Amino acid sequence: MFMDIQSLLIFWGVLVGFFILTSRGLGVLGDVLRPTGLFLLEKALGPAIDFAEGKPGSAARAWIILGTLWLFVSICFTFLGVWVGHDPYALISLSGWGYSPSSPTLISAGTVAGLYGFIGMVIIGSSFHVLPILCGTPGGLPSERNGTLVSTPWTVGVLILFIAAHNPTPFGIDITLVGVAVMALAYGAVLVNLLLTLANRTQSPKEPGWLLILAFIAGPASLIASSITNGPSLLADPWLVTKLLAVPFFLWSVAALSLYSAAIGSNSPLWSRTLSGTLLVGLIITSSAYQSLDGGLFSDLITQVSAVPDVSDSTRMFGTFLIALSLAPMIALSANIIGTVRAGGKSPEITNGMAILVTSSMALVILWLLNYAFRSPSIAGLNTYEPLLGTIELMTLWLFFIPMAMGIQLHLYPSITKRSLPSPERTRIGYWMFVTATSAGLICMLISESINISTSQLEVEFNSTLSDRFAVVGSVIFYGAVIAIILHTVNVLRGLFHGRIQLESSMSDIRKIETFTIAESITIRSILTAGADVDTMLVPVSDTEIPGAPTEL
Amino acid sequence: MANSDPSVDVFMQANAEPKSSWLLLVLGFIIVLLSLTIHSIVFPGQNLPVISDLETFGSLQGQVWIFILGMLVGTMMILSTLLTEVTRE
Repeated sequence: MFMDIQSLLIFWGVLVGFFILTSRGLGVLGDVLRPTGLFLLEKALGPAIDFAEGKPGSAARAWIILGTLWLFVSICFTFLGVWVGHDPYALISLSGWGYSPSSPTLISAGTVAGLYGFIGMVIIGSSFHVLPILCGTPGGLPSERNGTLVSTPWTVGVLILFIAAHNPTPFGIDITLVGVAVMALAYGAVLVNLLLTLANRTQSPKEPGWLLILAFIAGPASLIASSITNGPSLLADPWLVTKLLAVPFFLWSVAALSLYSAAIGSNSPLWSRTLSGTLLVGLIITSSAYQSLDGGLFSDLITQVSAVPDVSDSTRMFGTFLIALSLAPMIALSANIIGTVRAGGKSPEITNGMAILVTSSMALVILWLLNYAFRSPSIAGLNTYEPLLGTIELMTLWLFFIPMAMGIQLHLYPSITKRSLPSPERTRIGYWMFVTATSAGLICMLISESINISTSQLEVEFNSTLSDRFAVVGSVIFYGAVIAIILHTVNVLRGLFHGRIQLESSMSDIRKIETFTIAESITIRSILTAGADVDTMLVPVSDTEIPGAPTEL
Repeated sequence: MANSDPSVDVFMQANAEPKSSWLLLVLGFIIVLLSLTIHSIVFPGQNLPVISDLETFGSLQGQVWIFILGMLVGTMMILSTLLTEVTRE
């Protein structure tokens, strides 16, 4: 069931094949496929498509707003899960209504809402906005109406998975697979929309563009690879979700979108092209191995109904090697974002998401080291730190993935909605509360569990309440994240109606002219009028190869 | 005849209104408070009708409910923002 070496080779082969085919074009076949794809997105849906709005940007807006609502659900259930972890009878009163969830159940439900609801929806909404810009696609997204419409089945899919996290068989049937199928349907439509965007491009996708499109292709590529090596039985298993929407979809696209946001938001070019290349190649080669060992973040969601199959020793060795190697792209991503945002020498702005991008980039390397250090014994078959892995996965989610998605959302919000956030002060308070609450709260919980492990391994009769105290303090601090998310959600929703309307010129995502050739004396006013800004490089005509040509304005 | 400061005419005119979502929240809070007060005066020492009969509210214990109350206020804020903004003319 897992990706072994053979599957990984096929997976990489499919990605390389896709890259070559899309770079060279499909010729006549492409001319046939393009209108067919558009027909599938628009006309084939019949009257259903008329329910959706088709204005430019409406698809991206629908996805990021719905995602924000899921974020609120996610933090509430995660907090309750964390609390019930140290106080198992805290919600016993709800048993009168037939609801008596355990801590892992609540955390799983929160993770579903956070991962597939918030991060997934922000990724897709942002991609709808960013990919047409990177590809220079005329007219933007090919089908805004379909993009808007499919946010509904995706939300329904997340809702089903959310219920399944509590009870996977409420009516005697496994609804996990139903949720995955509904989400896969929406994902298919999103993919076709993005592929048409790529097909209609007028330029090769700019730097993080390939990483973004490969992130969307990786899921189907992974399915093809696993189907070839393991047979088509995979398609009827809940583990399908870890293939279709797993590490490549989340990590690669978050990396690509955060690089884009860092460059445009700080008004600086990407710091290093080498690091961007390292990130692209490194992530593709190394992080696809993450799902070959266990689902990590994803395994908790579905282990209730599906046992995790074991992997062979060779797969384990190969995967461990690749995971160790994955530190390189992680450092590349972190350094490139921090270098880009700090290029101007200014402190990163909180209100446009730059500060939270820098914070989560710094957290990335620390989290990688934590994950590697505590997961290594499990890979080797020892369960030494197994009780800590749940908290470390929570840290990965709440200190890297979700803040990154929040940063991307904060940066793209004005461009997508054509309005600014109404309260910068609320954003600043939310940022500090979120960062403090998630980091301090989760570290306290990690300390609490470490004390528990130490005392249990020493096998001493040590009746200490220290661990409980850390757990309580950690939960209370973590509640700050709930307040921060409430502030964020209200801000995002109010911005749709009360945010200052942005002028097209002030929110353009496309950088102004990079260089300006000076052939004769010219005023600064003329240069600015030509579209230059403070970052435009002025090149005297003697440094160019244009022999005495007039200045092109 | 008293000297009138012209700035009084400028600054003593209120022309902004509080947000409808906040009005809803405050109004809801006042109604709940009033209902509880009237009930305690009219039926002193008696349990609240319906609500006190529910097992859930009868046995609310532990501090987590303070935090859940905060979440419910947050939910109300989000819902009232959505409702009032969407239906705003």
